[in-house]
Amino acid sequence: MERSAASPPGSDHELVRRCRAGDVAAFIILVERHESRVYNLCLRVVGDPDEAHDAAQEALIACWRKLDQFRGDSAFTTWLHRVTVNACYDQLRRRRRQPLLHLAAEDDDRQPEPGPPVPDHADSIVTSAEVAEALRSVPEEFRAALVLADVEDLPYAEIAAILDVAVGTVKSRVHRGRVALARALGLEREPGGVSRPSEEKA
Amino acid sequence: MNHPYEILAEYADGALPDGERAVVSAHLDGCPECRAEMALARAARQALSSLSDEPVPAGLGAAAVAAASGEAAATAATPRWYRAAGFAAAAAVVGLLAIALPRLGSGDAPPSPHLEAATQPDGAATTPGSTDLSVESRDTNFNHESIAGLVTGKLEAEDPVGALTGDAGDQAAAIECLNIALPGREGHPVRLIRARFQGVDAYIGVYEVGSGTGEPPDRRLAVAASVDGCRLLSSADYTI
Repeated sequence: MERSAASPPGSDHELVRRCRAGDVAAFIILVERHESRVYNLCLRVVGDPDEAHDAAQEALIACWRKLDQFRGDSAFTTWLHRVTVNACYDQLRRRRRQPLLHLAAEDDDRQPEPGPPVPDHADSIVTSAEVAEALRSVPEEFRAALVLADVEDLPYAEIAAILDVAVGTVKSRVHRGRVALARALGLEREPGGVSRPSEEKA
Repeated sequence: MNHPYEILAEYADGALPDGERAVVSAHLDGCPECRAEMALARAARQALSSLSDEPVPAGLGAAAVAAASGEAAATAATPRWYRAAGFAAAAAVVGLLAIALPRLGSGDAPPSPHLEAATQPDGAATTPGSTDLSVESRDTNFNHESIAGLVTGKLEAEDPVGALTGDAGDQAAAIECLNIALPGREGHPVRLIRARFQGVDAYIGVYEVGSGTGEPPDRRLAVAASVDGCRLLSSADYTI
C-alpha cells in the first residue's frame, strides 16, 4: 500500500496531502475523479435520485472536512466509501424522521419493509429499473453490503473495512440481502414448497 | 439446523475453496430452505450485475468545492487564491466549478524528471504575445485531472495529449484569452493548445515561472480558458 510520503503526483494520497494543506485544486481533482462512484453508491443505497443527490453532496463536503481523519493506511476510496455510506445512513435517518410528510406528499412505495408490489416474473427477464426499485425494499441493514458487493464488486474484506464490521457479518448480510432482493423481484420459484421462512435466522 | 449463512454468499459467487464448497454442497443437499435461497441469491447476483452507473447530476460537486474554497480561504496561511467569476453559472455549464486554483509561490510536489525533457527549454524571459509558439490543435477533451497532468508530467507518462490535428494559429488570441481568464498570472508560455475542456472549446496554456533573477524556471502552470468568453475553466500549478 502506498504511503503518502512516497505517493506519486496525481495519486489519491498525494492529492489528499495537498488538500490538507488547503489546496482546493487538488480537491477538485479528487471530486471529479470520485463523484460518480459516490453518487451511484448513494443512488443505490438511498434509492431516490433527489435524496441520493443530497446524500452525495453531504458525502463530498464531509470528505473535505474530515480529510484530517484519513490516516492513509487504507486506500482513499475505502475511506471515501465509508464517508459516503455514513452520509446515506444520515439521509435515511432524516427520511425516517419525517415519514408523515413523505407518505402524505408522495407515492407510498417508500414505506419501509413489508409488501412492495411484487412483479410477476415467471421466467424472468428483469429490467434494471425493476432491480433498482426492488433494492429499495431490501432491508437497510443489508442494503449497503449488498450494493458494495454486487454493484460495486468490492471484495468482502474491503466492504468490512468500509462498514466497520467483521467480514463474516458482511457475507451474511450480502447473502440475506440477495435473497430479499430476489423475493422483491418475484423470483421465488418453488410453488408453495419453500415459501418464505417466517423469520430470518441469524 | 445451522445454516451456513456466512459462506453461502461465497458459494453463490463460486469463490469458495474446494473443502468449504463440499461442506456447503452437502448442507444444500439436505436443506431445501438453503437450496431455495441459493437459487434466489444467484438470481439476485445476476440481476444486480445489470445495474449500470447513472450519470452524475450537473454541479454535484459544486457545494463541496464551494465549502472547501471558503474554508481554505479562511484558514490557509499563505496562498493567494484566484477565483473565477460566474461561479454558479460555470457550475451549471461545466458540471463542476470553474475555480482557479493556483497557489502561486507554494507547492511542494516532488520534481518530475520527464517534464524537463518534454518541453522546449526556453530560459529567456519572454513577454506574453511575443513568442513564436504555434497553437496546437488537439483532439482531446481535457478535465481538471489532465490539466494537472500537463504540469506534473503524469500525462506524458500515460498518454501524449491526444492526436495533433493541426495548427490552430492565432496565438495572440489564445494568449489574450488566457490572460483575460487568469489576470495577473506570472510566467511565460511554453505551450499553447486548442482543445476541449469538459466538452467546451478551450485554449490551454502551459507556462513556466521563474524567480525572475535569471534562474531557470522552477514552477509550471497550466491554464484552461473557454474560447467563448475567456472564462477560466481550470488551472494547475506545479513546482518543478
